[in-house]
Amino acid sequence: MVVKSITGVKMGGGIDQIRAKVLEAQETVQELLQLVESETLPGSREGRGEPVDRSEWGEKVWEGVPAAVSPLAHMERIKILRALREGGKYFTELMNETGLSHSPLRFHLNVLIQGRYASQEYSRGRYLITRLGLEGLRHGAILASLREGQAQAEERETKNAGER
Amino acid sequence: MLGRKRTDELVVADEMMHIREDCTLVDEQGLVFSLCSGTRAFTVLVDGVRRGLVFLGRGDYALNSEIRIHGARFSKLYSESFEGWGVILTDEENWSRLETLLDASRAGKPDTSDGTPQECSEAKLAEKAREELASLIGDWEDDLSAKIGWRFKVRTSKGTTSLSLRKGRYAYSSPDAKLAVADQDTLSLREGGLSLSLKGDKVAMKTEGGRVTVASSGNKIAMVSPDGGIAAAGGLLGEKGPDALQIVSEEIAKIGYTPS
Repeated sequence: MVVKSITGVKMGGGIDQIRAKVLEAQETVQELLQLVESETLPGSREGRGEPVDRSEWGEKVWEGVPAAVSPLAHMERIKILRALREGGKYFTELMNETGLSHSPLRFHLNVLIQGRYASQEYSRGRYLITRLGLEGLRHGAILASLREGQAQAEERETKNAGER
Repeated sequence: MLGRKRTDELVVADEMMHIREDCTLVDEQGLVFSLCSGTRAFTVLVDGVRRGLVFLGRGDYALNSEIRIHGARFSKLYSESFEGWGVILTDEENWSRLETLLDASRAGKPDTSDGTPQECSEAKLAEKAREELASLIGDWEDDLSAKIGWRFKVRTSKGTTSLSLRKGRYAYSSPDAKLAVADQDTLSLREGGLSLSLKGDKVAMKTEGGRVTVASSGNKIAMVSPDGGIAAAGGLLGEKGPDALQIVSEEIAKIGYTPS
């Protein structure tokens, strides 16, 4: 794991070691981007494994990035997705687990459903996480870890530069 | 009539509804408005047409405010729980939807298992509802018989909060914030010592420190210090000056707006 590599840098390990770790992290980000480039994207019909071929979508994929990412850019929605990752939940269960009251929870669920990160069962009315939701959580966690790792490495680099 | 200046007439129906399940009455245009089970409500008629509710109970609302400054978007969710008397009014076509929702939440006759004669308690509460409605809408001087979209007024633990929302334009007023939005690029906001007005790419801002920033584009900024002296005038800062967007985004971040 990249994060472990970065956070594994021991204090006083030397600027070269830190540089190497930052480089490693940057390479991993590049690899991830290449992976995104090469992979087909999860389809809008959640959980059914019907992907859209990115090559057919072309440049439009980049236009879709902000709309795809923005539903995740809120801590309460991450909380909801994490709760749903454990299994389908009724509205009141989600209220209890997230600590959100009725209207804010409904608002955030709407955003997640419109973004196709969550869905609602027709029959029982439970809320479910979609395949996109699972991937969103996973990729979000990777980006957050990379960002934090890089920030820590840069901080150490600055500190070491100051000590020299 | 309820002693108002408007030409419309508001009447509170005698029959009381008892909301038995939590119920979301509004879920559109970034507004969610819900009432909790146990809330008692009376239908409000405007000029003889059913248009809303005056209610006694609990509920909450969430209003998503989105603003755009120099192409960057920021949002904040205003949300509060309320308790006690409140009012919600809307247009005739919305009311029919609302009525369906109320049916779905099994709104019906109140439980009289406490032994209180139902007619007596209902009549008293209806009378109180009329008083409360008059008190709540006392400062609404516009014509409610016209198209109003959604309008509510409730009492939260902090004080009275009201919202008027129609076709994406809204005016929100709470003890913490006052916000009038014509569209994402045209608004006026007062919250937490910050006063911000936005019209297209023109931004006027006043912070607690007294600084005023006016920007006609990203780099043309006039900053007035608390003592009134002009630190820099439009265009003088040029490319090297502080970016208006950066200054404004830092200030609105302090009151909870995040990039979206």
